[in-house]
Amino acid sequence: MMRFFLSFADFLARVGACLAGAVLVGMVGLILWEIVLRSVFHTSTFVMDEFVGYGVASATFLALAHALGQGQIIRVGLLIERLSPDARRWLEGLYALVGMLTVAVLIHFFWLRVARAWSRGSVSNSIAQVPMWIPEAIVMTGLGLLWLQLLAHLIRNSLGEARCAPPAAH
Amino acid sequence: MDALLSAGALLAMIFLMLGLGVWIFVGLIAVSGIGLVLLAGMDLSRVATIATGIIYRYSSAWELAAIPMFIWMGEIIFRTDISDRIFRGLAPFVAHVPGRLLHTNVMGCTLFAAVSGSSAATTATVGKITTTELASRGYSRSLSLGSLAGAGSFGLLIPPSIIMIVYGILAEVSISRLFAAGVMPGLMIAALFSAYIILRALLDPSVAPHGGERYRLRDYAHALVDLMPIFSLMGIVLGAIYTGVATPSEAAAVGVFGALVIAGVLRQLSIRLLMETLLGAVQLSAMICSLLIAAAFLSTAMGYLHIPADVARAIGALDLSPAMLILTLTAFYILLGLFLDGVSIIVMSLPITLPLVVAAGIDPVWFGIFLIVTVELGQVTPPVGFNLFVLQGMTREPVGRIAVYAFPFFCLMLIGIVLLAVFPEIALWLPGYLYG
Amino acid sequence: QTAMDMANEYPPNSIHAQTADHFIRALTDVSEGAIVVTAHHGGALGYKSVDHYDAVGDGAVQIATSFSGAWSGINPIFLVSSLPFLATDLEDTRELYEATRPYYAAAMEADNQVFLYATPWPASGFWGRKPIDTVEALQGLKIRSFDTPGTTTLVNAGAGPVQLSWADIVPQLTTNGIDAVLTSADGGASAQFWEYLSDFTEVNYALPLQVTHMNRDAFEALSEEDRAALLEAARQTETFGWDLLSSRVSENYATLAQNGVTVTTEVDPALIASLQAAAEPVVSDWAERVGPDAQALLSAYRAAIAD
Ligand code: NA
Ligand code: NA
Repeated sequence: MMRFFLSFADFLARVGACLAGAVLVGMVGLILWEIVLRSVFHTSTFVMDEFVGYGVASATFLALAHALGQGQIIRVGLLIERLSPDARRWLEGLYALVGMLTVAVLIHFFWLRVARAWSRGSVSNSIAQVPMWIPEAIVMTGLGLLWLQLLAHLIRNSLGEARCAPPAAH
Repeated sequence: MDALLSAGALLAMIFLMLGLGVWIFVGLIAVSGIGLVLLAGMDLSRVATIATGIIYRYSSAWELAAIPMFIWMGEIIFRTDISDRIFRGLAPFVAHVPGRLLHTNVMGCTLFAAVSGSSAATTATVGKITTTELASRGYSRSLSLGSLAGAGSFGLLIPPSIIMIVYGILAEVSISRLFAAGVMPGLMIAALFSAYIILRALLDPSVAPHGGERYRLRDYAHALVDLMPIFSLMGIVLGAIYTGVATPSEAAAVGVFGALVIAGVLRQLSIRLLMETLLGAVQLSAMICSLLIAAAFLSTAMGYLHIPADVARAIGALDLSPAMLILTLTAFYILLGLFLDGVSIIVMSLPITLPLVVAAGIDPVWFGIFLIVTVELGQVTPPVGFNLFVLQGMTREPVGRIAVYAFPFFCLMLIGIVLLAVFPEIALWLPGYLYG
Repeated sequence: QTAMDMANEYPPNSIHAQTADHFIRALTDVSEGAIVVTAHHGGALGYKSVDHYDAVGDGAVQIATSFSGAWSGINPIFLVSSLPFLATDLEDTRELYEATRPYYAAAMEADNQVFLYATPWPASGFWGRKPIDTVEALQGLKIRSFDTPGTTTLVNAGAGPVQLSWADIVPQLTTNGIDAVLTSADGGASAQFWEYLSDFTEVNYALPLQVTHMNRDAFEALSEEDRAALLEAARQTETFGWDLLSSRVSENYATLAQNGVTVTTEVDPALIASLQAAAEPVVSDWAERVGPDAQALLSAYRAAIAD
């Protein structure tokens, strides 16, 4: 059961990262399209900065859980490196709980924003009139993935198999 | 002096929270929230409303967009052999310069700063390309990472620069003049960095691997061929900006496009390369952007606590001579730089400090450059120093150790500030020459 | 003593920052120091005008001064003062504001805030490398517009509007990526446009409203005297802000002349007619989005200016 949850959380984090990658491709494509429209066809998408803004928010939060899983969410960590393994495990567990609490508060308040944008029918003030609950819900989803990954971290830590930060990529 | 007490309390909490080893993203948000509850007496639901509002606003800011795209470009260069070619190509040209390839960070950041307006993007992109290559070639870790942490901030000083635009709009100073004024100070600090690397290499040759290869004319020709891909890429991006085809904010997308085309020409473009570079890019950029977003909330908290404004006002009340004013402001901005990013520092303090400076008869263009170098110092000071964070994210070295590596470069930038204060013409000559 | 914060997206020297500073001074005077407001100009709290609506409604910040056109996605009524060529001089804008104010106040009351006062932005015109005073001059012109009504109007009028972030305008002007910018003389002066552009053509495109608003709970928590003081300071500031606009425009024109910018105020009537025609679908689209309120508002306004 626990194993299943751990691999499920990792799987979701990876899906998030892949979606973030797709968003990044979309951002680059949109900007290049805007450049072509502007310099060749003397027109514009009229929504580029808006959509690139949604893109960077989505890409950041969707990839955050995967970055944590890969040990890429960073810490200064002066004290924790000097502790005995037992003390370290306690502290790691405590940090995961602090993280879960903080992220849970953010998720709750993002949910209030999403619900309000939905019920009020708020849209962006561009030509595209994008319903505002969509980008906010994506950020909230990313925070949800992060919360799951923090829980997975807590479980791994208490099982004594916390993945220490892998060595620098490559 | 309430503001100083609040500032001290906040700083102590950040040191405690981050020093204990909490994730920085969580730690900064938690400290800011606790600060608003304890120091400003807000209730938790108001604090959380502020936090989500600022997080959403800042995460969807157009200004952040260059970071993931430039990092993707860096990943493509790193995972193809373009990066290896850069170093092979440069080797003959720097063979007789003490420190040899250690200068690549300073040169690379100076060049890249001409297309990137942010220091996080500069540090991350150049670092992605250089850190592994320099480490595998046996160059000194401390000089390599230290110079990168310092030189990453050229992104702000050499045009285009987001922070200069922010300053120009707030201070109603010509942005073109500011752009021109940043060039010579940027080159001067780059020269100071290079001189320091040369000095270190002369004193202790072990910082660079044993050299002594002899290069013939043919090797130089080969080297130029190796440098072709990166020069074409720089040409494409610079060309797009300076012909007006792309705006500086769009340059990163052009950079990705150029890097993909070059990878294709080199026959290294594949689905696998795309997937690997994309995953690497979104991870690193999620890390960097999440820290910037968390730091934005910290800035907002400092704003609600009126810290920068109150301290700036206290400085104004001292009625200092121009020289003492600049000295005091340097200390003030270094202190703010401990926990705030450059744009926030400028936005929150300038309405109070600029009138003081103008009343003291100081040129606002010069002050802009001074301010930018001064807030750049904050990029390499703990506890909140973005260039340090970016390098930790890439190399997994502890932030404290990277800060120690960066310390000599912090001092060199201070020397740069002194030179700038003694010889204001370093900043003012070029704009005067160009625009009268 | 009550201490409050006030958010403002625009720089300290901008017209609305000066108006806000006046409000704060007036409030200190009228309330005899009982209410102290700290302004955070230049977006120092991290909010943009579009965020102020909920930030104030939720009490994240007690007071804000905001460009009301930014809220058109929340409630399209807030777009009315940004509609092109609906009101093209100060008197008409005042009438439009009088007709609009009840709708703004009602919408904001429903979202837990108090409408305090509104003051206009200087009229937008065309900054360019030549006078843009004829229909021909506008054809195919690469011009930066700042909102949807402007973009649509300019497309309809045959220009080639581009959307750029404010930070990209100067680089695009230096590289000739764009030829012109739709903004006020004031906006161009604050960014030293005379370094790149030689002409400002007055077309009095629109004079949008900047609204200063307050959280309702914070308002109701005040004593009766303090509430009265607040409304009195708001009233004084409104007068100040509307008067400031006229003096500001003449100051701006003087600054432009000093910096060698030619200000063209006599434009071909055909251009204005063409722009007005181009703006008509924008106005009717807006009226459709808003519903019956829009018709009522527009008729009230048209009746007022007909007098
Ligand atoms: Na730059
Ligand atoms: Na710092």
